[in-house]
Amino acid sequence: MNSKKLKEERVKLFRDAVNFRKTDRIPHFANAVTWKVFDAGHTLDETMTDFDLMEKCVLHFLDKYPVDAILDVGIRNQFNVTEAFGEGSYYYYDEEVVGVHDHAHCTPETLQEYMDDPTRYAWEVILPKKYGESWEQKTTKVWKKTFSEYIRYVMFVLHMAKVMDRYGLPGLSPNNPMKGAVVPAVEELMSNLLGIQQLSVAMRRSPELLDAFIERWEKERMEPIYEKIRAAGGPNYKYCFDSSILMLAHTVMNSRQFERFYWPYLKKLLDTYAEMGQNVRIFAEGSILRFTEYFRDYPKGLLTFHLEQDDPFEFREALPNAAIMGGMTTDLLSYGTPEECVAYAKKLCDELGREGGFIFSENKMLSYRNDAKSENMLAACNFVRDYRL
Amino acid sequence: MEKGKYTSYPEGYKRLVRDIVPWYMRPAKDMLMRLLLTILVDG
Repeated sequence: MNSKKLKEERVKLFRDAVNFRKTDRIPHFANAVTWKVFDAGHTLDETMTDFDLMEKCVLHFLDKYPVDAILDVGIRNQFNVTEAFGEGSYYYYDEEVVGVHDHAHCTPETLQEYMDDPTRYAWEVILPKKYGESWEQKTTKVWKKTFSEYIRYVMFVLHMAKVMDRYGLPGLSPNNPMKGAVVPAVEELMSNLLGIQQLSVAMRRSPELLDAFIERWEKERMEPIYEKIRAAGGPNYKYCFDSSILMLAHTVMNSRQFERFYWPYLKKLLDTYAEMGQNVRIFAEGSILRFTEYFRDYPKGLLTFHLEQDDPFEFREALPNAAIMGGMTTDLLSYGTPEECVAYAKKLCDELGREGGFIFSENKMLSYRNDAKSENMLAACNFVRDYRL
Repeated sequence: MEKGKYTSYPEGYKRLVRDIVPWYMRPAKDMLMRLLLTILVDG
């Protein structure tokens, strides 16, 4: 089968699964990120700034493991741009680990100033603070080198999209950092603008400032997105989903805070997708189980929850109208045997996927060396590819 | 002496865009600079 046809078939398989239509087999979306590097015999510090080596690691994975789609083809966690610019990255890596420090661009009091002109704010506040004295010393040569590395990175992203086409692998969704990510206000607050610590405190001490920011974000950032969703019409069958949203901020909220800062805005977004009959994947970091009641009224087909820590069987009971992505735990992939992995993969497929509504995937992003054993991953992949319901 | 050549806004920022974005990429300069800034700010 040629790669174009294969890609179309895979998209159909994903879309059937999320719409609770019976499929003859369960699709496998590989939640694989930097684990690929270790599996190919390399270390993170070797590959993070070397596009050729990163591509080699990605191809090693794709040639070895039969999957229907993959989260990352080596384009996350590239450091050549920030390294060309000099010291001061929030991200860090060594041979084995890549991570990010909690950071905050704003205080609750400066959020409106940020919204007034984000570029000005970056130029006058964030970058001088981040780079200290060296900010003033960035020469034309340094900037040109940084820009050139950035263009190399963009070309690598485009190149890897062609590699995915060659393997017949559909992309996750049309919204991504290159094309415009869909980021709810509280997620931006938590990831960048206030950080985990300040957001947690601000929800108690300065809720009005957060309300004002979220309302403005809604009007200026989200309203244009709603327009785009409506303009797109129905589903975009080039991708597994029409949108992918990451939820993390709920993990630091109680129900009252969720109802005030998160749910009204997330609901508006989901209502818009529902109106257009589109399919949305939500990567629910941490646990989302205590918030499932909010999502109960949506029709089947709208929501697919990629579960990081929740038990998928318990989640299915709690929210039967949502498809589930995930299930295979990194604990089992790491500490189990191939036989145990296959037995659990079978249980997931049989109990969650017989009527549609299930996409096999790893619960956590495969990032570190010990997130999976190669023989376990291979056994699970082969089983899911061959198993007929 | 180049110290502080680009640190003012919007003058320094505009000067920077002129200096580093090649002419054939100018039509997309706003999009290119937005993403580059995102990487430098959040990365």
